[in-house]
Amino acid sequence: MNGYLLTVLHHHLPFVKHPEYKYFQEEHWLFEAIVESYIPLLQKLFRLTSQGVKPKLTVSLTPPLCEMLADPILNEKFKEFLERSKELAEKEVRRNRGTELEEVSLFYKRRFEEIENFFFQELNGSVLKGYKELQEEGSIEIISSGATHGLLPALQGVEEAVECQIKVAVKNYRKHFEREPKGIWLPECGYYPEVEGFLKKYGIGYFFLDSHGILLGKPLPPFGVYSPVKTPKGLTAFGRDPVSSKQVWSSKEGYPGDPVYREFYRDIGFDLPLEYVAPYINPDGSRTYTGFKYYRITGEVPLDKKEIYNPERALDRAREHAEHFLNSREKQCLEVKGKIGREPIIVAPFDAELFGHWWFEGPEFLFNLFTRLNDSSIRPTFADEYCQKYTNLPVSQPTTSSWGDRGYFDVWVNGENDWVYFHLYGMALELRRLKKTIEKNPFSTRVLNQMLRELLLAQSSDWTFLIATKTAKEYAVNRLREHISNFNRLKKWLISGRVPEEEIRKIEEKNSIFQEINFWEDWPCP
Amino acid sequence: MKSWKLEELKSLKKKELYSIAKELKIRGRGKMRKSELLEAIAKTLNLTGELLKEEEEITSYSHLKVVEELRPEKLKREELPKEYPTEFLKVIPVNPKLVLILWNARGKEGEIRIYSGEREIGRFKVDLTWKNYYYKLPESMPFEKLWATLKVEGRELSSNQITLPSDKVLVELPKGILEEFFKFEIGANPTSEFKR
Repeated sequence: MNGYLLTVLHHHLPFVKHPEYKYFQEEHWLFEAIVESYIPLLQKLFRLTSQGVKPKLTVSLTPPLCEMLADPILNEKFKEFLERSKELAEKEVRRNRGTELEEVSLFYKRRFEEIENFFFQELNGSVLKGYKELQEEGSIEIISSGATHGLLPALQGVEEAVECQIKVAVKNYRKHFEREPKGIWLPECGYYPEVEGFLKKYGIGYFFLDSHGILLGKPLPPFGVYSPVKTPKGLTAFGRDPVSSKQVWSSKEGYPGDPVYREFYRDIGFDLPLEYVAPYINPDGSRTYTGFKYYRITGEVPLDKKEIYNPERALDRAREHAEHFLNSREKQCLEVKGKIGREPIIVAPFDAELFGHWWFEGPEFLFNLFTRLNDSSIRPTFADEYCQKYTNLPVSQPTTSSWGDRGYFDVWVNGENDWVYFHLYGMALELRRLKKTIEKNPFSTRVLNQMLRELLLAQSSDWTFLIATKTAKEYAVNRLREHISNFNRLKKWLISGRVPEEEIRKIEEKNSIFQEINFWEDWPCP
Repeated sequence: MKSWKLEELKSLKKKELYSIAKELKIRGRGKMRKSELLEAIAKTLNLTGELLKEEEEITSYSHLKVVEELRPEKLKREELPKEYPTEFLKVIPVNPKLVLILWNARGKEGEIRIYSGEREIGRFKVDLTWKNYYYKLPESMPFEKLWATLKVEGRELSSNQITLPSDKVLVELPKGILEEFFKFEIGANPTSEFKR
């Protein structure tokens, strides 16, 4: 036995729900993630469990994602999406019969049937329950996150705003998983030392940081990221292993770029005549991904020169890559153990949506990795399990940091998106003022609850991220404007003592996250 | 909707222009070429003066009539608040050498002072309508506390206090033991770029 592997899959999508539209493009972020990432991951995890393998995978499921997965309207829309995809799969099999695409069309048809089967039979129509069940069996450990994935260091100027992100998240965790979270995935690994006071207050014992969060700490801990550190406040911080992340995600040497793997960008939503794909793309006629991708990466060739995807070959390669990854970790652990004189822990955190959605064969890679780990010289572990084994952790104060581009907060705080913070602080201070001045009654509670939902939704790090990276920028700007405007309209109604019933109902139905929220409890006093 | 500058619009891809056109409810957007989308948007947002000035010689604008009816006043949207009732001054860390200072303060001009602990490390005047200002630190100050004040018309606002990020390994590395394990790159995690 030479070391431990702690794999974390961070599951997160921003809260996107548009009951006002029958079809809404951005809702497909969720539907695609379910069929391409969450269900394939759950299928593999269920299979491992049935084979008696405990993967000991750490999973963060953020509150907005949990709330979407549990939302009846989105669930209905997801079922429609699944129906449409199945229909397209059948149409594709007919269209491609007798051609070189016949095999791969059949592969998709079978795949959608399996997904549908699994969703209704095994999961009883609830993805969330799948994760819950795995946690109850001890196969995975689910950790919490920020209530709406707010970047906490950027919200720290109003302490209640940070505390509320954690308090509401922990409460939501209880609602969905019926227990207390032991650890947290800080949104974007965004950390500043003072945040620990709030983590501690709500019973959170450990969190994760990017490598430099630990390695630039005070002082440099003797085992680097190969052991968690105890912070001066008594919490445990785990640092990302830079070596293993690079192996998986480097655009040059990384596994997902292998020529036999499925090509993401070649999709029939863009390739086929508009009248044929029209029912499966945006009704306004703008083309989009359908999930039907028939080609492999092939190499550095233009999209029209890609060769046909062979699922079996790709799965073989995923097995080889899992083997390679495991061998590299075994070597790494052996070497580090010799130098530090104890069994190191390798912390490998990833965005869950990258497995399956982006790297189509990713779930297969994980399946093989966990299967093979069973008889290797390293063991999968949970955070608190490792801490029970090694109680004498080095003490160090981690540094303010994130896992974003350039390592700090440039992605979320820059000239493109900094206008947001004026409103986030303005609104937070309004809630502070109103809590002191407004009388508590059913009317004010209803309006203030929705105001708090609007503020929380505006705080999501996704919007500033999407603005900075110019992907879905307009949508992000619109969402921010919507929540800020809603907040101020609600405030006017609160102060006037009257609400237009139909308007407030529309807002409540649409931005329905956290039905359990209670402004008077959940918005703390400073 | 943000107030677009023509320069910004020009740097956008067709798809992005299309989504703006959609938001502005520009008719016939589905059939427009990229240059037509740009023109229609510029017209709708009242930026055409600039556009015409710059490109008069090379393009014909006869088809601009198509969007004539879509006057900006018809598309007027709810304005975001320009100020909030409670005045404030806040500091956000951006990176080890940069902080964002932001405020909600009535008046025209103010003076910001930056402190590390009790020590004043910077002082400058700001136009209060800027609402924020990026302060570049002379050097990184790992784990130091930083805060600011804003003096305006006899009032003084104080900010929150932040702990500045570190960008240095804070002890000598033990020789020959672990150097190779510290060859990390800050911010080398590429995962976020795949997120759509």
